[in-house]
Amino acid sequence: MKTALLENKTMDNTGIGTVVDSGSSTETLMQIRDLHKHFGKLHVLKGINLNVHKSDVLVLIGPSGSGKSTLLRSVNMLEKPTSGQILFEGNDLTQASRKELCRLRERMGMVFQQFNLFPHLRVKDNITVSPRKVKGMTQEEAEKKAEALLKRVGLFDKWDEYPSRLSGGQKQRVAIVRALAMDPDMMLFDEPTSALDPEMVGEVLDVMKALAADGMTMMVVTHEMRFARQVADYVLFIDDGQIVEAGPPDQIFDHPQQKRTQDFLNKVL
Amino acid sequence: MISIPKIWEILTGKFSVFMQGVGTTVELALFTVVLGSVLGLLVAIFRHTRILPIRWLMNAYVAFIRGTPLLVQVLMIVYGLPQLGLKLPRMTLCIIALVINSGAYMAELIRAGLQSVEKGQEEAADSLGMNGFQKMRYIILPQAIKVTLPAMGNEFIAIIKESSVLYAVGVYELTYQANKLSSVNYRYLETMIVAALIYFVLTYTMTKLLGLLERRMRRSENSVA
Repeated sequence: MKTALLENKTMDNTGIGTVVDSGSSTETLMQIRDLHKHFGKLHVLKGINLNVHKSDVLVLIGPSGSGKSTLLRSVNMLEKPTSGQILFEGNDLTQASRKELCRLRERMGMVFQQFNLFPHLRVKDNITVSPRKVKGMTQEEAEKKAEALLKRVGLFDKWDEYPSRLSGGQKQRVAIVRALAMDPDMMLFDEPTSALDPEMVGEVLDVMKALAADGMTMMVVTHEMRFARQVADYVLFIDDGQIVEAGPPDQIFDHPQQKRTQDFLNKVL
Repeated sequence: MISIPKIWEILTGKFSVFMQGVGTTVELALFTVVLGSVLGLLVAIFRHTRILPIRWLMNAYVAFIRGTPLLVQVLMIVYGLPQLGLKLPRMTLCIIALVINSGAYMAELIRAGLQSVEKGQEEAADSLGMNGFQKMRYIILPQAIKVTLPAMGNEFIAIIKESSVLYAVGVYELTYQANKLSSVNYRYLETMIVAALIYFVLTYTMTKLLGLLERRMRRSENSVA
């Protein structure tokens, strides 16, 4: 296992340090190079180098304030990195024009901790507004797609409801469907179960598991260690703005190499 | 001596005169609230633009209007514009003056509404690939307007009252009519009491109606979450 990790880490010829790479045989969907983010004087991301391969499920764990959410939010430019590159399907997001960024974001779904459903729109409109207005789908097409997706997560009966009438778990499943309706190549999850009552966590994780099984490329920030172990192809332990350790879940959870990883896992497991 | 029967006599005797004034007042207020909302909306949106000079211009407009008396603004527009060669009917000039005034206040109300929309809404729209216009049009604005509607209702009521300054430029609204009457019947107190009562009935009814509307809206909206 240890050697596997070493093999997976390759020196980048730009000399910016070790690039974390899951080593999956699928094509590389995203390359993050020497990514830094400052909030004023606070140095939140300190040179992140990461390759994300198609169909990989990457789970980001680490203490709060470690920068894992900032990293995820930087991936679709909700946070503007201070320096570095994010290549998504060959396009550098950090250099993209406003218009190009919209195009690129279409292909990246995002699920938020607080759901962020649109409260003034019914479930069906929450899901169809972007396919229609951004992708130019007809209402009929968009609704057909929304219907199929909602059925998959078992929420078709909420078609005409407003978000406020849904439970937390239902809201988050609708939020996932809303992102999927854009046909993204990659899904980002920012602590998707942290705002949920414990009994609703399972229903959301189940949807995510199904997505992972379907081959969706996913980056997930979560505190659900069991989920990480079951679903992740690759676990990244992030602390103090850096990827401290990365590897398959067995390796990270059972044989962590770094002291910081061990300390963190001792606290949360 | 104040005479209660005289108040009644003035109201009933000159009812059509008062009603003509009410008609003009309500007409002014309606035009103003509708056009003022549109202007306020535009100003509120342009205050968000990335083009700094436009932003400065909008901010200056709002600050200037809020910092100067309505009567001065009315005199500037109603007598000033014709001096510049813009020969418009008096009523139109008055509406322009009121709209310019009200637009500034509406812009502030709408700005507060826009700010009340959670940051996460914008982020969700961004993450779905929406551009600035789509985000504003489909996500932010509908929520902001909903929050702003009650305040816009109050603005309508305020305009009904404030439009009384137009008596100074000879528009036949309620205050002008009452003032003209009292200069003929010499019953200033009673005549103005009638005018005040009519204003009160107008604004009080409007307040109640808006309250009803607001409660119904709240019931159907299922709270924002």
